[in-house]
Amino acid sequence: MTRVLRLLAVRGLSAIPTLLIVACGAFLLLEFAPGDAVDAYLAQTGGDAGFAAELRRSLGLGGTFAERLAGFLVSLATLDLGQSVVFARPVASVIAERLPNTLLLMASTTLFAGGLGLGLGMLAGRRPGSLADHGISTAALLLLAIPNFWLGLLLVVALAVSWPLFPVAGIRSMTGTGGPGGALLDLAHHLVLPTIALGAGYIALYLRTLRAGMVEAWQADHVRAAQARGLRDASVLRRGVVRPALLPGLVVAGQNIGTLVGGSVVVETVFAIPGMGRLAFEAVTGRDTALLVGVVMSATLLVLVINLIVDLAMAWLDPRLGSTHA
Amino acid sequence: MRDSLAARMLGTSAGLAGVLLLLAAAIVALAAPWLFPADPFDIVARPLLRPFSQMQHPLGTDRLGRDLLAMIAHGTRPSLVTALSVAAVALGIGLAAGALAGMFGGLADELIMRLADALQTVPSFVVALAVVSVLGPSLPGLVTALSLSAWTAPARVVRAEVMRLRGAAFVESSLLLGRNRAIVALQVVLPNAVTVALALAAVIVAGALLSEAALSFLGLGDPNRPSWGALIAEGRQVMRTAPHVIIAPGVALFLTVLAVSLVGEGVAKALSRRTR
Repeated sequence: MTRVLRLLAVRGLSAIPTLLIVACGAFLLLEFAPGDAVDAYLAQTGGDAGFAAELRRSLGLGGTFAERLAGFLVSLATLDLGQSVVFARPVASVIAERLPNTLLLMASTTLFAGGLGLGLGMLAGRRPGSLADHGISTAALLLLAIPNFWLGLLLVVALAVSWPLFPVAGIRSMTGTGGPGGALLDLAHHLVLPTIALGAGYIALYLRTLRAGMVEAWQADHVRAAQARGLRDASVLRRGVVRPALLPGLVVAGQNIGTLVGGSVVVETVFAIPGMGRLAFEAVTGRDTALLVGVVMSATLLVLVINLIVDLAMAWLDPRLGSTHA
Repeated sequence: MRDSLAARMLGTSAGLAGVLLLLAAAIVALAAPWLFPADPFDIVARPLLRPFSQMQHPLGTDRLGRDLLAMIAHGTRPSLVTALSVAAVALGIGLAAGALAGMFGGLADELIMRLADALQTVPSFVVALAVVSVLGPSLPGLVTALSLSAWTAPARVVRAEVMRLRGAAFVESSLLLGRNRAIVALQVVLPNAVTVALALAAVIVAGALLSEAALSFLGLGDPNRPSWGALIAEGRQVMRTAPHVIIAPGVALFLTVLAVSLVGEGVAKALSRRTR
């Protein structure tokens, strides 16, 4: 248990400089963006210069650079992300509303790519240099080169328009779906195409890592000993090969949370999914800098939290991690 | 030694295929103004002409009647220039930062690596989106936006390599001669640590190509130049009836990224053979 606590403490402490640096970067973004929150607000409501100066003072937008930075950091620390101009609501509540859809897409993509990558990596790593290995490794290169937004559009044309198997866009049907079971099926139905579009490249990343792990694992002494004792391939695979290969798989998952969030910006836009990724795009097109800063900060926090969960999962799978004897 | 690395890279089938594909892309990028001297945004035929139906417009036309092949050819140079500039800037910063962090250790190392941590945590595409929206879609703006996260990976590998080399006799003797530590880091240690970052160059170029296209697709590219991402975005409105308008520019992008990845694969194979 102390191992877990130590891990939490180390990770929590190392997150502080990261959050501070990102916050300062976000502040620079606010400073350099043309116009400020008051300009954006007045563009909607109207008002004279005196009112603008009043508003700036009350929002902490006046003062020196250092005062503004301090005010910004204090409001971030109290989880106050300000007011969105586009939505005319607090930024935090807009993000909270959008986050679940992005988490769903990220989870389904990781399961899809991780599962397929694990299977293909096992197949390729069983006999390095075989025809299957070459075929799968070539496919990995092709998958990595496909632009996710383009794949999404091609999937829409092929599987939603020409051959309408899946919905064109959205995450839920507007019409009733008949009970909680129906709603879940409806959600899964909507997630299929975005998941493939976002996940295709990640299949290749998981596959490559797991292939390398498999090649090594099959040559390990304990695996060869198990084979020599006459254990069947299937049970050797399960006990001696798959479990150690899961760790590098988790590492890949942890490393790619950030790109997954970035990819969801484009894929959510293609499929019109109301998630946090599309929110980033909407903030940019709406010139809503407060919203953009809120998305940047919460995306960073999301990556930190998921990385912590990945670390805990790894510590659970591998008792050596985080112990003082490591 | 460097020639033999290039030769070995060309000896792998992936490396050879990648170099040939990339050469083709470079020729198109350089020759586009001569191959298609007219303004690629000119309306030249009836809209949504199917590919291979008229030999003057082999890939057909878009919804305004502009020649797709001409626009794709003219879009090659901005894509390649952006991606290669990002790689040059990111590798330059990454090598210098990694070498200094590894050589000096202490506070310099701490500062550089915490900055790298932060930039590797915040989603790089979101950063690029935000920075481009502030700096505008010019070449310097795009390169800044995309290099901001890309320098961290080379910095990490170079730092590790420099820390390994720091105690070597040739480094110690340079320092004992009384030379400045920063100059030794950049002039003596870095050249020996460069190869480890070389394999990352392809990953950076491929990533920059894809990110640049995604930004143009979202409407954040330069509107005055033809761009593959913007072509795909424009084609969305008519893709149900005329899918060729999104397929053609996407294939160009796909093949270019594939070429870069193949070269990277070849370099990685050549490097691993040398170490064995």
